[in-house]
Amino acid sequence: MDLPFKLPPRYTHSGKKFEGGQGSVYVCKDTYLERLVAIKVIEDSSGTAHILKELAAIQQIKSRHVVQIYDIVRSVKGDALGIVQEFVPGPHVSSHFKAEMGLDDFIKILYQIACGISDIHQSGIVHRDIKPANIKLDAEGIAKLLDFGLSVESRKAPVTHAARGTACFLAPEMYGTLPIKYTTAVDTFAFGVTARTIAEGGAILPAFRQTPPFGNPLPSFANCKLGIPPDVVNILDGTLVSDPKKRPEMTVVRDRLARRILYGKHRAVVSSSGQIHELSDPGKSIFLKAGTDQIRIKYDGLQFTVESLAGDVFLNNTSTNIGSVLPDSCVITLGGPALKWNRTFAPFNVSHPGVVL
Amino acid sequence: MSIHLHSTGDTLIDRYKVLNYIDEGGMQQVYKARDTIFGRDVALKVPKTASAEKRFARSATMSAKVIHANVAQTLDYFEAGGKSYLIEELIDGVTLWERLDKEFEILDPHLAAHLIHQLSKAIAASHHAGVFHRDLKPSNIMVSRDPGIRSIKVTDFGIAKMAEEEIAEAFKDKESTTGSQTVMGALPYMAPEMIEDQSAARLPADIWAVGALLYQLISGVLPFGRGLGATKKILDALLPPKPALFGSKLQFQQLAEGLWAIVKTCLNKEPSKRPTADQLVQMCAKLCYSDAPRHTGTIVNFASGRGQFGRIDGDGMGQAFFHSDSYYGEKITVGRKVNFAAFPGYPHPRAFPILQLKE
Repeated sequence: MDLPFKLPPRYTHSGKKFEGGQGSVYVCKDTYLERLVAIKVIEDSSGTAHILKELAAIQQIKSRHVVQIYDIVRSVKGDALGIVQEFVPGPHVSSHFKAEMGLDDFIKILYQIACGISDIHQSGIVHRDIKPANIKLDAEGIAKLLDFGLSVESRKAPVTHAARGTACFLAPEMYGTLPIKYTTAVDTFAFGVTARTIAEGGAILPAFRQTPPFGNPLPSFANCKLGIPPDVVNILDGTLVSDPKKRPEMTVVRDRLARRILYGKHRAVVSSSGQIHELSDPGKSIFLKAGTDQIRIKYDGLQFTVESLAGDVFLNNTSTNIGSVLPDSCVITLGGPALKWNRTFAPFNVSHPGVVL
Repeated sequence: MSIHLHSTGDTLIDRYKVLNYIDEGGMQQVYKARDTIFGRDVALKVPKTASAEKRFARSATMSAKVIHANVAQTLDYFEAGGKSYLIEELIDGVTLWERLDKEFEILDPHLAAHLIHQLSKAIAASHHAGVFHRDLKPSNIMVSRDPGIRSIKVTDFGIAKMAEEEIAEAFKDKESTTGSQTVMGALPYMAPEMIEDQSAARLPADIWAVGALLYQLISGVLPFGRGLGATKKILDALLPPKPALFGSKLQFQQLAEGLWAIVKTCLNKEPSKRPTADQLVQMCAKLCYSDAPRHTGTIVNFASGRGQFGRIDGDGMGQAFFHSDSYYGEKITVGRKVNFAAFPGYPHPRAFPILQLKE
C-alpha cells in the first residue's frame, strides 16, 4: 500500500492506490495547494533521465483532454521517480457509460476522445496506448487521456522493435515482422476498438481478440444496440479498416461527430427585401422566388441542400445543382447576370449552438 | 508602477528561472519563468506587499481547486526568501481589457456569444468546486490574440476579497491610492449586494458580473458607468438601454435577443432570481452562433446599388466579398478595419459576419 520511497513532506498519501500502465498510481494530498494529486511511481533501474525527456515532449501538447503535470519526486537512490499530476477523480470511460445513457451521450464521449487524440496528433505525437482504461472523466465530465508512457513523436517516422501496446487495441500493422514502421493511424484503430468497447458497456467483443489477419471481419457499428446513425457508422467503421492509409484522420472523425452532435440544431437565416426567413426544423424547406427564378433549400438535420431549382440561381456567384450543399454563409442570387443590380440578392447564413465542453 | 521584485536570471527553489517581467495588478507582479524540470514556460506570480500575502495564499488554494480548460491552471505554490509564489499555466495572450481597449468598440452577437459561452463554462466549473471568483472583469480574463478570440481563460480567483475599510476609503478619498484603484476597477462589475456588504456576497455576484461584462461587450459601454457615480445606479439595478444596433440588424436579431435575455436575467437586483452558473451555461448552449475562424482586414470598396455589396482586403488572405446585411457596425466606410469569417465563394470568399473595429 505504501510508496516504495518516502515522499517529501509537501505530499501525504491518502491511502488510495491504482495500477497504471507503467506502475502504481498513488492518490496524495498536496498540502501546499490543499488539493488531491495523483503520483505515478515509475521504478526503473536504468535511471530516470529518459522519462523526463518524454515528459518534456508531452508538454508540447495543447489539449484540454490531457492531464496536467505538476512536479517530480525522486527516491534517494535515483532508481524510482514519482510524477505528480492532476488527479482525475471520475470513473474510467467504459464504466461510466451505461446502455441507458443512450446515443447522444455515446457520441459526446467519443467526440471528446476524438478531440483529445486529434490534439495529440496535431502536436506530432502518437499516443500508442489508447484504450478505455487510459481515459477518465473529470469532475466537469471532461474526458482526459492518461498514460503517455508509450507515446512517440510521429515526425521521426517511428519504428518499433517490439510491438508494445495493449492486445485487442493494437492495430493490425503492429503484428507484422519487426521492425515495424507505424503512424498516427495506430491510435485511430485503437480509438475504433475503444468506441466499440464503450458501446458494449465495457466488454471487448470476441472479434477483437483475433490475431491479424482477421479471419472474421471486424463487426460494423451498424449492429450496435445503440442504433448509431449511418453517417457515424460510416466514419467509425472507417477507423477499423486493416489498411492504415485508409483510416480517416482523427480530425475528420472529430468533425463528423461534432456535426452529429448538432443534429437538428442548426439555424439558417435568409434575408431578402427586408424580410427574414428562418429554417431550423429537420425535413423542412424554404422557397425563394423572383419571377421565374427559384430555389428550394432543404434542411436534413445535418446540412442544407438544394432540393429544387428553376431559372437563373447562383450561390456565391457560382451556378449550383440539385443536391448541392450550401456553404455556411453565402449570397443567393436570383436572376441572370444581364439584370445586374435588378437581381434579387439574399444573404443566407447558418449558425448553430457552440459545441463547448 | 512599482519596483520589480525580480530580475531576469533569478532562480527560485532551484526550479524556476525568471525570464522577464510581464505585468502587475493591484496586488501582485507577474513574471514569465522557465520551469527547468519540465522545460516549459510558466507564469510566476508574487504578491507586492506583506498585506497582500494572506489573500494571495487564499487565492492560490482556491484557484487550484478549479480544473477546467477555461481557467488558468495552478501548477505550483511555494515560499522562498520570505515571500510566497504561485506558478500558473503561462497563457499566450493578453487580457480581454487590453483587446477591448485597443481593438473592439463592441463585439458582434456571434463573437459575444462565443465569449460568454466559454466564460460561463469557467464560472460553472468554479462554482461546482465551491469557488467564488469575486472579481470578474476584463483584466482578469486572459484571451488569445487571434481575431476570433479562440482561447478564453479566467484567472485571479478570490483575490479581491476587499476589506470594507478599503471600500470606505475609496468613497472618501477620490485620489487614487492602490486600494481605491482596485475598487474602481472592480466597481463597474460589482453586484449590488456586494456594494452593500462585501462579506455577504456569494456566488450570484459572479453571475451579475457576467451580465455586466456581456452588456459591455455588446454595447461598448459599461451598464452603470464608471467611478463612484456607478454605485447608486448599481444599487437601483435599473436595466440600461438596449445596444443601439440591436433591432436594426435583421441578420443578427434572433441571436441579439438571446444575448439580451441573458443580460436581463443576470442583472437582476435580487441574487436568488439570477440564473445559477449551470442555468447560464444552458442558456448559452441554446444560442445559435457562428464560431468559424476569423480574419482581420480593411474595407476597400462599397457600392450602394440595390445589392449593397462591398469588398474587404483581408490581412494575409486576399479579398473577400460581403453584403451589407452581414455587416455589424454603424456605417460601412472604405478604409475601415474589420474582423470577419470567410466562406467559399467565387471569385472571392464570402465574409460573414463582418465586425467593425476601432479606428
